[in-house]
Amino acid sequence: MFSKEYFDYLIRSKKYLLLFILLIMLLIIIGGRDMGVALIIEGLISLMLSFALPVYIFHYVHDKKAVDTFFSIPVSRKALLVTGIVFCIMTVYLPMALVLCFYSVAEKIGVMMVVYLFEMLLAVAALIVFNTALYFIANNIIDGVIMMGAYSFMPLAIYMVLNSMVSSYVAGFSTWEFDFLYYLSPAAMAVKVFVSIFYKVQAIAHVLGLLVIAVIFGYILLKAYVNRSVERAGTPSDRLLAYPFVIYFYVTICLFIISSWNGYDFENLSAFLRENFITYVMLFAVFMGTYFIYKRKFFFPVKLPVVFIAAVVVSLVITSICKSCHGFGLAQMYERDDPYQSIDINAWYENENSDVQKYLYEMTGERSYYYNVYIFNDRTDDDHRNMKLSASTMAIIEELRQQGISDFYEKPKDGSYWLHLNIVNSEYGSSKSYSYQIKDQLDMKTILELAKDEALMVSIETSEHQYFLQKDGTLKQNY
Amino acid sequence: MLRINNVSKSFGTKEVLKDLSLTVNEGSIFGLVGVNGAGKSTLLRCISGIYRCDAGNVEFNGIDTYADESIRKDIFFVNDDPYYSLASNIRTLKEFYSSYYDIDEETYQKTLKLFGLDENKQLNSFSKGMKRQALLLFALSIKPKLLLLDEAFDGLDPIVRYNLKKSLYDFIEENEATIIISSHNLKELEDICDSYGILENGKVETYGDLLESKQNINKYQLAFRKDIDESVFDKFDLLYKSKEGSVYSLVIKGDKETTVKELKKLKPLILDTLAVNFEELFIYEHEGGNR
Repeated sequence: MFSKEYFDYLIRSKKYLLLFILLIMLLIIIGGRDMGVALIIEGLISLMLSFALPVYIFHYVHDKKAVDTFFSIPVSRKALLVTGIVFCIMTVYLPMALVLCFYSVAEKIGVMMVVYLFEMLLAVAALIVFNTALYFIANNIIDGVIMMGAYSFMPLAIYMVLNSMVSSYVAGFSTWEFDFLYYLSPAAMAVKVFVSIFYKVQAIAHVLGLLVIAVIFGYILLKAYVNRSVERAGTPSDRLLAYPFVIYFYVTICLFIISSWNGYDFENLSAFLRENFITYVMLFAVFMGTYFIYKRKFFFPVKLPVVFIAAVVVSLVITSICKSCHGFGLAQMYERDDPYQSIDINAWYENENSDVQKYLYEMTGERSYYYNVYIFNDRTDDDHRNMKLSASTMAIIEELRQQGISDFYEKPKDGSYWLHLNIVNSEYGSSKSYSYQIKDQLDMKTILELAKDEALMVSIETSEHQYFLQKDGTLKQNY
Repeated sequence: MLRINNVSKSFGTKEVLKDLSLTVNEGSIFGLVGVNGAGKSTLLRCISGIYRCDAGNVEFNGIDTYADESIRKDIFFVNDDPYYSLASNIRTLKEFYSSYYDIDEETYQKTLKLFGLDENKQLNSFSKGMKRQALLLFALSIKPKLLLLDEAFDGLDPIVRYNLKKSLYDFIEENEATIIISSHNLKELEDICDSYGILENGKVETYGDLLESKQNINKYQLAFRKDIDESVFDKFDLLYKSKEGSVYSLVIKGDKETTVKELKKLKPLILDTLAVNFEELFIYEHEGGNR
């Protein structure tokens, strides 16, 4: 499984590369006043090296001539792979480990350094194994680099399309973190681990995620490498997981982003297609372009436009279904019992006859055409930090929320909203925010009811003054 | 002994080697010939363990060359277009090969001098022929028990070709090794090979001792007083036939004496027997196979 001869050769032949990396690392340690900054810079360099080194060390797999040399030597395929991987890991990890040791001494980390060293080793190993596996999906060096980039950006692409879909079709959902996507990206997990070491905290879930990736991809890589058809080196990368999958994945992502960003539904098909025709034509041109890169020749089979049109239709149908079933019911998913819940209501009025205006006139004698009402629980205030919202407030919020959901799917013809409700659940460092816009104005009775809640603050702004609504219903001017 | 057992190898839908079986004896210099695209290089890569056979296997001294990498210490493959990394020279190449093989320093120095190569010059600045010589230098210095040479004489000037042939003679004499050479230069092969195989349609159906085969195929020139019925030649294993005036040129496979005896029965005015060379042997076998 490991070839000492090949490892010795790698050390001897790559000695200048190793010296160069060592020199950079020493410059970082000597030049940086702060060992934490040195650790972050070293982490970034390591991240880049974990992409570059597999390309450099395993270049022979994609070179028709080099295949003859490397696969005819008396070293088993398993040993060639394992030794190459070990060399890559060692090259990336050792400088990092050294910087971490300096950092540990500077920060007096103590025995935790051993844990951090292990976590770092795991992160580097998982990254290199994963990147090598991506590199081997292709049949030539350029495609190998493209595959590494394409697969590494997939979680980000999924994140973009999910956010685009939920913000367009799920009432109340704005940008979400979609934490699960971190576990699809070893690079993101490794960054989390590096950052957690910097902050001296534990990122157990990400460490475990990296361990799973290292084991699973290590096994797949070994099997695939042993059975690899080396005669295909230098040929177009037509494995199912190479261009055929990557091209269709990104085209699908783009189609869903186009249809969801523009809020497509069945009712406005012709207008939608008119507005987005150029976008679709450009995407089709890119689609054809990727086939040119894939095949390395002009390639225009009739099936491509047919497949593209079919994919457009499917994306439009799915987004329409998504809208008609209210985001597959996700609009109703909302955690109400979060003790750290923050709410923020912004209501505005441009109506001289509103009951808010009447109330303000009665209480202060001030008349204004324009009013803003802010209702919020101030979590930054020590007195209010741990206060829970009352049951009556929660009931009002839920009523407003339901109205917001209903208004989201039946947008007003004049496009005007008078109320904005924002709810943030921010437990355990991760936050989920729900945002609603409501057509109807908030009446004074509801405002007074909300003002009674100890956890809430209500302010009314005119064009000239700001007032705080007290628990007893009186107004106190803010100077 | 090298045994190729029912080897098949396809590239996509193209079946290059079809259930190919062949045995090459120890101490033999085996010339592998075939038209372009016949699969000679593929067969050599299957033998050297680079390619995995779709079916069958290759055994050298009873050990599978693909499955057991240890046997590859005794095998060296010189491909038609050697790979050298950027900035590498013969010295770095020696570093690479010495990691896996035992290099005989005396042979190395002798061959280096014979080929007139500069150890420190970058290999990428070498001509194609010199690049091949650099790899041949290691092929000879490592002293493998099985040496595989793909398009061995391509790109080499006459002096180097002569030196290479001489080196191969010495090598086989000293080491009891087996050499398989593929080349289109049949004249060069004829000079050094004692056995041969013609790779055609994915199989080696014509093979054997080169001298015996050459003796078994002969060219006959006959002239007759008047036109004869050509069906009289049907009883011979005729590989080639042409007629110019009243003179027939025939290439017939079979025992020379028996054939001459049979031809004399046709009462020709003239009957001359000529020996064929390896190139003619290949052409006649190839055309005979395609008929």
